Amino acid sequence: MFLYTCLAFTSVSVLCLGVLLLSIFLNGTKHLFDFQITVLPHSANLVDSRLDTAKRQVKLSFVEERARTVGIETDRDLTGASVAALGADLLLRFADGSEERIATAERLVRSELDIEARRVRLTYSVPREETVGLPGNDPLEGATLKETPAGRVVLTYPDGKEQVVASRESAAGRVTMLGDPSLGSVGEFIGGSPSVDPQKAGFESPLVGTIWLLCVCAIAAVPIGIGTAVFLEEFKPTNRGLIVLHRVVATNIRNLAGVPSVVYGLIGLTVFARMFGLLGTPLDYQSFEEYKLSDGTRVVGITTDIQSDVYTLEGPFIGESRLERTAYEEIARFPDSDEVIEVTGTVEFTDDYEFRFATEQIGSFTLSPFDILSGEMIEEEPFAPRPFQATFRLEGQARYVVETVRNGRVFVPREMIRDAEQDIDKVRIRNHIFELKDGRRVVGKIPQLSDGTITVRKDLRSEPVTFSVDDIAERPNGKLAYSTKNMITILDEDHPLHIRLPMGASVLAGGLTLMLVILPVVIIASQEALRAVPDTLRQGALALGASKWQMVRTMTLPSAIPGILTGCILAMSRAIGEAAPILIIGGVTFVTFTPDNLMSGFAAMPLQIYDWLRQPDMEFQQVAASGIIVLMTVLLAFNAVAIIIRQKLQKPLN
Amino acid sequence: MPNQPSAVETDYRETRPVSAGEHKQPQKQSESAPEAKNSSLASVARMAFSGRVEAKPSATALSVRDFSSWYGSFQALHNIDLEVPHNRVTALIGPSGCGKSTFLRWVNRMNDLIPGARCAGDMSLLGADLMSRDIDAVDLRRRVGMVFQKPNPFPKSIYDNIAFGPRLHYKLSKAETDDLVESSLRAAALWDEVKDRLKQSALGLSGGQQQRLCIARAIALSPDVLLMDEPCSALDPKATIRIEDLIVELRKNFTILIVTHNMQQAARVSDQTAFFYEGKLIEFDDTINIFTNPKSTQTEDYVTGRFG
Repeated sequence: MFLYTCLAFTSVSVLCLGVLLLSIFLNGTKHLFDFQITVLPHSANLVDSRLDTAKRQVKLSFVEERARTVGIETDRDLTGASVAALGADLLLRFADGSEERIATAERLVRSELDIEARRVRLTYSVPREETVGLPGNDPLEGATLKETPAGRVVLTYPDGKEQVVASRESAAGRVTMLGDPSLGSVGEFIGGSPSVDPQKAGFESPLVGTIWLLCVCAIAAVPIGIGTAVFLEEFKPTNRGLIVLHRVVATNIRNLAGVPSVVYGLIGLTVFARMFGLLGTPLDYQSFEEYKLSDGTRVVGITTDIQSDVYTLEGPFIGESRLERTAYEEIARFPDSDEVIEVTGTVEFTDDYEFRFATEQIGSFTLSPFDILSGEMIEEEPFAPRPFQATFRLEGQARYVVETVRNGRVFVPREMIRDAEQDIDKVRIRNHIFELKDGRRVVGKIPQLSDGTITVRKDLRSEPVTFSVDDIAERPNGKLAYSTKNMITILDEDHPLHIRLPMGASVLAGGLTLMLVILPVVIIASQEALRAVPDTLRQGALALGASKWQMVRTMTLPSAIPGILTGCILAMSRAIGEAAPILIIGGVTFVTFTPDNLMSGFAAMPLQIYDWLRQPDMEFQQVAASGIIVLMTVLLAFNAVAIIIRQKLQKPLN
Repeated sequence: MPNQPSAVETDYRETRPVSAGEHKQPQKQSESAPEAKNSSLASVARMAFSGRVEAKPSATALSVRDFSSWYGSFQALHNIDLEVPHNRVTALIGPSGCGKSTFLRWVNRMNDLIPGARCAGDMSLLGADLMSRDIDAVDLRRRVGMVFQKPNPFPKSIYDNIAFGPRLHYKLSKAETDDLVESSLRAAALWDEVKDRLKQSALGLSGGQQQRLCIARAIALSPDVLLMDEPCSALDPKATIRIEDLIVELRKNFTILIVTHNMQQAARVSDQTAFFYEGKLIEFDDTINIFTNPKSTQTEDYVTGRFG
């Protein structure tokens, strides 16, 4: 009975593990290896697909339906009016028989007159072609293409292997060419930078960041852990008071092994990142910008004032953004640096499915099938273009608030806005509203300074530093720069062992926090390994006149090292997966840089995976699974190194 | 007296087969006839001792006066007085828990490592006060070697086992270390068996060989005193005899204190015997007297096997 129960439990756990690994692997490899799926527009009809074996390409031809709305400009009464195509023209026929041309009828699929709103909704079919490259070396002779009812184009290789070439799963309103077939997609993932596009998301900065973290963590935790274990096991005090202290320490280390890692994150934040505030407040060492000037000096602080003769303002929405040069004197009011972008004006769709801000002509972006007026999804008729009055405001990162005149406030989820997404990120950070003296409002970037001065100051008490724009050799690159006020710095910043106290959100602080997390585990494992060394060996060494330290060094530690290293491997496996302490310390998820010294900011793999899993876009789930595969590979590599070291150390004893 | 030790050795060797033959016979009857056992032990002691009676009483190596010891509140030794002569084998006998091992472990201060162990009284080795705070326990242990009950070779090569102690204390060249290893192994009568596999693990040796290796390891430091805590209790009779031969051989150069439960062993190898009972030294005399003519009835009871 007992045996069967055990067997049942074991098989359940093995099954769970298998399912877990399988799901990770299937999801992850999908992203790693099937990089080149083309997403077809939701409204597209596939007309033809051809396989070019010589060029290793698939050509897809399809017809995409595009809608537009045309407003009726005339003031005449529309009662009884209708729309009719005549040749290449689409005519509006009034009740009295007179006609007026409103649009082209070429490729028109249907038209719909809305008398109430005085507009015509038109749907056109537009042919398009896409080419999909096929990476790899599998022979293509005899391969076949077919379209599945679910809207996928599947390539079947001669050996029966199937590959999805194109898919219509996504309701996105465009065709995306995914990945560069000439690049290995695994390398692209591992070596790539983060991106809001799941297909382009790379893993380099978290990967390198985690390796830095683990190195710092191992270098700190292993010697301290082994040292503590040796002290607790080999140097037991004989004095009664010290025995009590020894017991308290030993018991508490055992308890610490069960403390949640979040708590260690807080300790790490206080002790390492902020150093109890003894060396200044967090504000003193966070979110500063750093300018490098051409004479070699470095200015660190917050940019408080920018003086310029001419501002070059750029529209917030790239695509058709335009530059506008505005003289300094023309500006009536400068934006606050944290001012919300808010543009009021009439917005209407045009032929190119763009919003136009009637007042300021700022830019364009495409909205996916969504009716702004009713706030409802439109399934069958995407891109319902209507002129309306609305206010756009970006609220957080997740959604836009669209305030319409008629329907009040509507929330547009961020994922609904496809084309401009990446650019809007920049908008959020950089665009400000400048009010000009002639009454216009201009939305634009922080000025592109051609000439003028920049003023930087560290805090209100310090002297501001003002320098000419022409002197700037390097502008702030987004990395956090740090003030040197109240700080202790060791070695120059270019040195990889540069250290700055307090540490801030640095690799060193992160690694040391992870050290706190795993230290109890390392200590307990090392203690157990030392305890397993027979006492006769110790006595033998001591009886030969070895001091305690000589005994530990020559006898106990070499005998215990395999067990100690096994414990260290387990501890490091825990450290590599910790997200919570890193999150608290201030690990970042969207960075393109990798650490170049101990004081650099960093990204970490578990944190990045967590961030990906939070994304609303389902494709990020696969990216996260790929990330987990990389994480596990790194973990296995670290363990392999530890095992090799263990074998090497074990040898002389046998 | 350069000739004395060799004379002893010769005598011992001559008597050896006789004693071995004699003690086998009565052993069979020992349970039923303790008196007979006693007489056989006495004869063993007499035989072994006969060769040594000529030896002049030598200088005292270890002098113990009014020595008591405690583990926490438990008193393990009560007012021990003992004079261990130089270059002699002194056996400590007594039932388990009588304090003989404790006594032994005070001689090289191994008890320092046990929390709560403390002592009172005097113990001096060749004139140096062992219990003084000025004595460096590490240096003391170099001068007082110890062999344990269970062979405890280090998980290293045979060579490294022997060289371990000397390397801790001296800077030796390779040639010097080689010489020291060879002489130690020869002294421990192990050289011929292991000379071809010095670089192999010591754990591959048999139990008896391992114990001789431990003895070789201890004498590589040329200690003044060699402590043996039941060195043969984990060994088979054949290995035991080799160790006993070795002890008698080592008597030439070392003062040996041996704890044993095997009274025949005590009779065979020791010059003096001390009988401990419940932490007290009941009787200390020449071995022959302890086994033939004990003064105390407790001693007599013990050596005749009435208890213990």
